[in-house]
Amino acid sequence: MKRPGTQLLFMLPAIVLFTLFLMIPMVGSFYFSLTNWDGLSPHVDYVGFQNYKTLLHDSEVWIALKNTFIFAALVTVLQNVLSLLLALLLDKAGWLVRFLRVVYLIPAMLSALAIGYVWTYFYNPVLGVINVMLDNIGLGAWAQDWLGDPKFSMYSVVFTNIWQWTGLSIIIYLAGLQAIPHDLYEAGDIDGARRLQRFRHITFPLIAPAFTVNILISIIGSLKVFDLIYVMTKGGPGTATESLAVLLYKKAFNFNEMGYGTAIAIVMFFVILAISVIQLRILRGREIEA
Amino acid sequence: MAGTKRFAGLGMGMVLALSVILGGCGSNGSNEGSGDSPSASKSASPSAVSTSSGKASPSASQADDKPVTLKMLHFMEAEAGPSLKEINKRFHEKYPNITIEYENAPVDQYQSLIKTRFASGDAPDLVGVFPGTWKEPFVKAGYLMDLSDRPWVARLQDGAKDMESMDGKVYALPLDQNAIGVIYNKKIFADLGLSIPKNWDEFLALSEKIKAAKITPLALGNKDLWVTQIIPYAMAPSAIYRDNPNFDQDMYAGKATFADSPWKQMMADYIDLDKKGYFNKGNLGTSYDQMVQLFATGKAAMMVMGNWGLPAILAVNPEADLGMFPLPYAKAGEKVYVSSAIALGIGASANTKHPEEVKKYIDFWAEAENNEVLLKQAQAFPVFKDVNPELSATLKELVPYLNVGTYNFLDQKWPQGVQDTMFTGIQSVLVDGGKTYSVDKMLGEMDKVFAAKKGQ
Repeated sequence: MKRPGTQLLFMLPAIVLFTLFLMIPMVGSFYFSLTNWDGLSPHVDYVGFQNYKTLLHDSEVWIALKNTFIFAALVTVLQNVLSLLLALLLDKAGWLVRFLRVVYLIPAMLSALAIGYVWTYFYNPVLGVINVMLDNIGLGAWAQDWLGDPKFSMYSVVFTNIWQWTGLSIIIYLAGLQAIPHDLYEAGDIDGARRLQRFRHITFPLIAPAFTVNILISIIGSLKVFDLIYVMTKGGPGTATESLAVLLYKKAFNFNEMGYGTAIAIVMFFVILAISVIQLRILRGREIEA
Repeated sequence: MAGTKRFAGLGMGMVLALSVILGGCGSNGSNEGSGDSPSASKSASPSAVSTSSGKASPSASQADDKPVTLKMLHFMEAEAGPSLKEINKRFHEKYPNITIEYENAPVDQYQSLIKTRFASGDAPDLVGVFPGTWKEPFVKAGYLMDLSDRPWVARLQDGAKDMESMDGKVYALPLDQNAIGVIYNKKIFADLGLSIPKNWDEFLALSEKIKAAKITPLALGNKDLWVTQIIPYAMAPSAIYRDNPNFDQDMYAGKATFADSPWKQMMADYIDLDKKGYFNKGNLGTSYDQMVQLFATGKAAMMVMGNWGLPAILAVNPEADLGMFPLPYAKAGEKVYVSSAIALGIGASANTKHPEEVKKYIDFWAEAENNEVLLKQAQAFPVFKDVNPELSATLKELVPYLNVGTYNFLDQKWPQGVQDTMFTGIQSVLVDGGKTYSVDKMLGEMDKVFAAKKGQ
């Protein structure tokens, strides 16, 4: 017999933490976004929706929004294609496969700061591993200023982000893949299905839940990106890699415009919320129980 | 049954979401570099006082008070770590009842950290203070203690006192000053038979000769935003302030703008150096550390940097034979002014519970022999009229130029936000020499922010 009282008791710690660390700060943030607080003074002036009006006309906000969308699109698509591919290849038994799964997962366990710092050295145009290696194998002409050239800086940061998180996506896809009953594959083989048809008609539809989760995590995580970009380029060169989170941090702390920065954060929240809800609606509809 | 299932599902979902969020918060990010710093002074036992070297044991007259712990948050560990420990040790010997708890944060993290600490009422007793206008919001909010009555104020050089004051009151103790110039590799200069350039044309010709010898003339690491400003800062004293020392006041009065000033020519010359190939390739993707490496390993002959770069270079290559001359951004026969400004400063929280102890600590740093310890460690110039430390040979080269004329680092007189706008602007301009993002646009943005923030 289920007792709602016990259930509530078990959920209470989570609810308390959720309220204390998420709901209250969110409400607080919304309040500060209606002020022109500079982030340090004990004095706070209410200014209504002025900050929101300003940010609608701030070209830097639109640039950051564009950068964030490009980053999210590239990461979500490329990372999921790559990790699904690797998951399919790793969906076997064997020690090599198990070893590789761990190896791919290691970057996801490292601190973004450490990764960003090390990759900055890799990308260094003169001394970095990438350009030096290209030079050594005779492809020196392909060497670029990976982080300092705005043509490449976004792709370089995207690449490092994918490098970091692919392992995690692989694990989630593997979990989905391994839940597919083998008799379905056998039935497909009997009917003469080839590899690609097998994937399209059996595998892909049945890993829809894993697919949904991965896309959701990728989109939300990449729309919020801050630490990797801040460490590698601080949003540079110029504003080429400035994401919304990096911009709001600069406004809040470097420009002493905490109220304005918070308004940007609130806008970011609603944008991400809207995208996530839409995406969930679309993808949830595809899911079927095996 | 479906209801409770959904309820349980919701609860599980929330727990899961919470663990993901908290897990994603990552490391605590506490910047306590104080691992082996003066918290060691906490364990200094009284026996250390009685066995201290033959010097007269500091009198116990002040030391009869209750034990006090002062919290200090600063960014000086990078520049002054060992001297910080030494001075704290000496301080504890003089006042055994006072202990200093030091917390460090790298410069850019310090800036956000100190604001949050003050705003949340968790201010340390002693804080690092940046010279110039940085402290204005803090003074306006009543966070900084007025130190105008301290004995060391009268000993400060005029410019130094001015930088740490606001509305005639002194709010921090300046410790040292730095100058920006061209650090050069003496061996390369000797090998190529080069002499110190006295004007811009000579500087360009010299760079051309170095380039012809297949050595990078100037190392540059513009990926780190603060490096982008060094060359304009080195140019500005000769370009603007030598002939118009009131330029900053004019800007505040609305009579002058960046767009309509020698800034345009300065940026054009900056771009020119890049176009002529005098910088390392991919300088927008090179960080400060990598720039120091390029120079220290002899791949570049010069670098425009402040004297704080000298210890960094020597750390990479202790054998390096270094010299320094000011960036000669002047026409033949004109005087060259040097960019020179206060670096470190210590201030106090106005609401500290131990004002007397805090003042004693700050006074201690101002004493001549303690100040000299810092200057030696940081390889910097003095700010007191009566302190004349033995400077390294490289620093000595710069002294005659400093006596011709100087101006401070420009952001020290700007409202908050202009410097950040400049950083982004310089990077955007240097991407393709101002074609996509023009110098005019950059200066226009700087003017906009200056006008918007100058009242604050």
